[in-house]
Amino acid sequence: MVNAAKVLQDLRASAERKPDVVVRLGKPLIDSGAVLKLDTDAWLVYEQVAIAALDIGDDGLSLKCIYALETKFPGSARVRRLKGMQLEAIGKLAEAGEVYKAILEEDETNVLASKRQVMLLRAMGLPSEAISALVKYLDVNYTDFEGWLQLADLYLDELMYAQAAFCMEEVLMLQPQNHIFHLKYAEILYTQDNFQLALKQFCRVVELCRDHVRGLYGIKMCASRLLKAARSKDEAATSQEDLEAMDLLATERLIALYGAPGAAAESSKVAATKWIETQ
Amino acid sequence: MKFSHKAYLKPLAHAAKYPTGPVNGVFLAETNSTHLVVDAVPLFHFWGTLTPMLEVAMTQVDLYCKANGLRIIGYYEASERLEDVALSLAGQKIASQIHHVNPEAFAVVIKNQNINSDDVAFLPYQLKDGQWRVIKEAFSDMNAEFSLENSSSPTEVAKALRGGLSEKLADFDNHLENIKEDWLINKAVV
Repeated sequence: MVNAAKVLQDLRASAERKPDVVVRLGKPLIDSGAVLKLDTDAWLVYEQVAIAALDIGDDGLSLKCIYALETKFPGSARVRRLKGMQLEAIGKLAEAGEVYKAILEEDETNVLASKRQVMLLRAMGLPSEAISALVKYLDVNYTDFEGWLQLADLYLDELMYAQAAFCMEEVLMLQPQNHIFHLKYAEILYTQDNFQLALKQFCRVVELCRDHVRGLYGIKMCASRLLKAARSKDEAATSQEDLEAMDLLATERLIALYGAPGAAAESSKVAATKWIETQ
Repeated sequence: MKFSHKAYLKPLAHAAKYPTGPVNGVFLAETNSTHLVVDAVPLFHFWGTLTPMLEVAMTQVDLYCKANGLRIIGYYEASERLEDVALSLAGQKIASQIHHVNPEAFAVVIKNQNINSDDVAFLPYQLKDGQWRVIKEAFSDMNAEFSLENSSSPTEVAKALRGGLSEKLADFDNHLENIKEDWLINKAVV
């Protein structure tokens, strides 16, 4: 029982979405009542299992958890938003909307309800409305980098790359050391044909996370595009020598990584090596 | 187009592995045959609207094809929303590019609701007059244009997925995170 609780705790901390694991470990704890031995953590487990149960379609388990939480915390907005999620999961989108609206009428700053409302609009197939709602939320909560990340994704769904890039810039101001955010920004820039800036961002990825394969591929893609293009008159542009050096570095590292014994399946290695040669 | 068991299995395993997000990939056929879709290669499960890794993947699949007497014949995707069977904007662009090189190319959207059933879970699209249009009545007696090589593929695949097969599938995103992942062949799955 201690192990299950620890795994659940780790998953709460990492925020990974592994509903099958959560339900497999959490359901016995809840059914047997052993969850209550976890004191204050018990309610976090109930909430965690409720959400995981919705993910895997176990409505009964979810309602059981929500009921326990309602009993313990009557009137709580946090629990009511869970009820809203349960309604969303069974397809009752309009009713879910009413739940979130009611919470926000009492407290317009309620973060959980605001966020659910954005995703509800998206689930209803109303992307513009979802974007507007999230923009409004971020006007107030501009340090919520997860909000900016979600907005970037909403824009990307609509292929609005410039707006998505802007969102990633906000994310990076708040989380400058996260190489995955630099990577996402780099790939958006590349998609916009901004190879110069994309290259800088891919380099930052590899700087923050040594031998990052995806970052190295990105460096090669940008360097080869820039080397093939006409020389830029912009003084701030990376010089031909530097481009060639970066391309060489990325090439060397990729060859070393793929070439290590047992590093990659034969088919992957052959394709990657040939790709490197022909870039 | 006739789909081999492998070409039916892999896209569904890909969709089942990532139920909370969109997935996409390509279909392969032998260079000489025109109508047998022999395999599928899963590509992405996140950032599907971004291009750099798509370019890398498509080039590497192409190189793999040339080395093995194959060619890219189609594109597949699955939406994160259960009932959504529309071909996404990004999907249309990718499929159109494949079509540009190979006019026989088609697209398939996975019918998520049919994954765990005995019914065929592929909804094919073809490019007609510059628009990607659904092919009605595919995989039925009324339309022999799209069929399965093995009529029990849906049932067998559903069973295999219930047994946890999708965990063993690797796509290009997985490969970029860990180059040991066998994304081009996926021996562990077939």
